Amino acid sequence: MYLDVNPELCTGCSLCEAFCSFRREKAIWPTKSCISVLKYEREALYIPFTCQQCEKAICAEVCPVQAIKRNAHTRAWEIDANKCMGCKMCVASCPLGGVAFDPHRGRAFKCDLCGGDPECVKVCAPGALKLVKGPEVVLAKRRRVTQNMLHLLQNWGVETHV
Amino acid sequence: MRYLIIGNSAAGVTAAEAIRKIDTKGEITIVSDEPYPAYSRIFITNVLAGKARPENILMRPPGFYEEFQIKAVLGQKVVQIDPANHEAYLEKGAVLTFDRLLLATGASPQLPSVPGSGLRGITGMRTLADALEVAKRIEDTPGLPVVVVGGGLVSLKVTEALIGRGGEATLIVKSPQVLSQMLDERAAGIIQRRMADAGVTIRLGCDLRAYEGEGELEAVYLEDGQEIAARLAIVAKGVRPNLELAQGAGLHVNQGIVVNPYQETSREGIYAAGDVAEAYDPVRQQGSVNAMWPNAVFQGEAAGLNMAGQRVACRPGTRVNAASFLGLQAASVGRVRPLDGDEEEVVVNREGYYHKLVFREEFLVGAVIVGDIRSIGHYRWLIAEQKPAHFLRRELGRKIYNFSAYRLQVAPWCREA
Ligand SMILES: Cc1cc2nc3c(=O)[nH]c(=O)nc-3n(C[C@H](O)[C@H](O)[C@H](O)COP(=O)(O)OP(=O)(O)OC[C@H]3O[C@@H](n4cnc5c(N)ncnc54)[C@H](O)[C@@H]3O)c2cc1C
Ligand code: SF4
Repeated sequence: MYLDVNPELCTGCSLCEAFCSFRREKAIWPTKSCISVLKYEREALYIPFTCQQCEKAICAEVCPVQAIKRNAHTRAWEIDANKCMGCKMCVASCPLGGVAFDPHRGRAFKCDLCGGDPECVKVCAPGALKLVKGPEVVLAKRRRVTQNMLHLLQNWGVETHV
Repeated sequence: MRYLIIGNSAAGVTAAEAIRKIDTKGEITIVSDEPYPAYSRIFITNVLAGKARPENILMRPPGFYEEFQIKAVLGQKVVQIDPANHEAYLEKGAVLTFDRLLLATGASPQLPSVPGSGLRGITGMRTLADALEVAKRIEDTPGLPVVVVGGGLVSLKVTEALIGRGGEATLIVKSPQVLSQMLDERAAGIIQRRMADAGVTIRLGCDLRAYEGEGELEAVYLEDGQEIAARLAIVAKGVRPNLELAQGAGLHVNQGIVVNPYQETSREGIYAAGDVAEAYDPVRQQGSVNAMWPNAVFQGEAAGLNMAGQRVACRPGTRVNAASFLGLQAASVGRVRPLDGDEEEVVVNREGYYHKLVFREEFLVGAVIVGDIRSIGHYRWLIAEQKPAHFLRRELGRKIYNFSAYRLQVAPWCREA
């Protein structure tokens, strides 16, 4: 499973941030949300950034104590808060801003797909967030992420060299 | 195939795993002069702080070496390698042979050679042994006056650990700011205020001139003549790669062992990875030793795959740093100080929050963040892959600005100050 993000549909309402943090902290607290919406108001472009549950996950590779492991059931990469030592190597390595750091607990945190029924998907009215299941989508997903990136860059009127 | 890996840390262990993925039969031997199974060096200050025990910072679970069929030769130093005869010599006399060799020997603290540097009580902070020894000294003598020399990441971690134990520390920094490699002046200022509030004395812009004492350290002297009582000096003024083996074997060596994108050294069959290796840095556009944990992991993996017969270039490495001090987070990537022709954009600058981007034409070349640092990985990617990022200049500031306004709106529920 992974969360497919479609910035074209996102309206930037940030409900995903609010509900994600509420589920985790019982408070609306965007810095404690696993999903974070980058807003480009002039272009009316909004990109929800969150973990894409990569096949080859940089965060898990760099973690010095192997605190980031795949959940066998959901296939989400999960951080074992008892093992995490708070070095932020995973935060610094994820190109999608998929891992955040909780300074109050001194631990990294990231999307665990809410165990298979993600809160953000439920509240995203325009349908910019979708839960995609099954390993066969992996390649499609990869393509999708890069395509989105390229597409967005072009939308911003930036020449892409890729 | 016989693989020999010297160094049992980030680069060496990752390389061994990568080799095993491809070559299930080859003999893999890892040698280290440290006596422990592989541990995460970056967490030794957590051990110093008393917040972790050595078994909490192991890089791999117990049983790792058996599971991957790796022969671990621990607590033994390699004193020389002979590339022509494919042999490595251990201090205690044994000889190891190899077909492929990886030098993952890491780096050692740079201890300044000022008068009195032979006194007892002066130590670097690089190994678990260093951390355990300092912890014991401090436990045995409560109230021991300690100075920390250097203003980098390791110094800050040491200082936070000492405070966490209820101790006090004086920080001696040669530069006019802390974290001068990692942060600009303003971002460092935010951290320095936090440190001062925590009761740390910081002496900025003043280097150490001499150690004083009879056999044991009693005081340090600074350049401006000031004397500070100290029974323990923890020195963290950067590291230098452990190049002796490579130099002895006649490998091409610059700041570090020079490697190509496949982690190959100038000699066939010999590879290098991690803090000891000098690879091309796309941001600096030159060879560079990027002595960082993620880099050691990426290079170790590439080295292992190539040693086992694949042809895989290492991910481009660039300096990315993340630090925190008593809950305040800071991170940076690329150039933190603009060069001529760069443009700097400070987006937010208020108490505890700071966001700076450095551009060269349409490319992002550097970023400094204090506050929520989660976008640093994205910036690293834009920089290392040289993606155009002109758009950030126009809109990112607004996003952050909006974001803080939003935070104010939800303030009644928001527990964060
Ligand atoms: C306190 C501290 C905090 C740090 N914090 C961070 C951080 O927050 N972020 C970050 O990115 N990096 C951090 N680092 C740096 C990081 O730990 C290193 O980049 C990383 O450990 C490099 O790994 P390596 O495998 O190249 O070498 P090392 O970890 O240095 O390991 C090399 C090993 O080889 C052994 N060896 C050397 N020569 C020989 C020989 N001749 N014979 C046998 N064995 C030999 C050494 O004893 C050592 O065990 C920190 C380092 C320290 C000390
Ligand atoms: S912050 Fe935690 S999960 Fe992330 S790399 Fe460090 S120890 Fe692993």
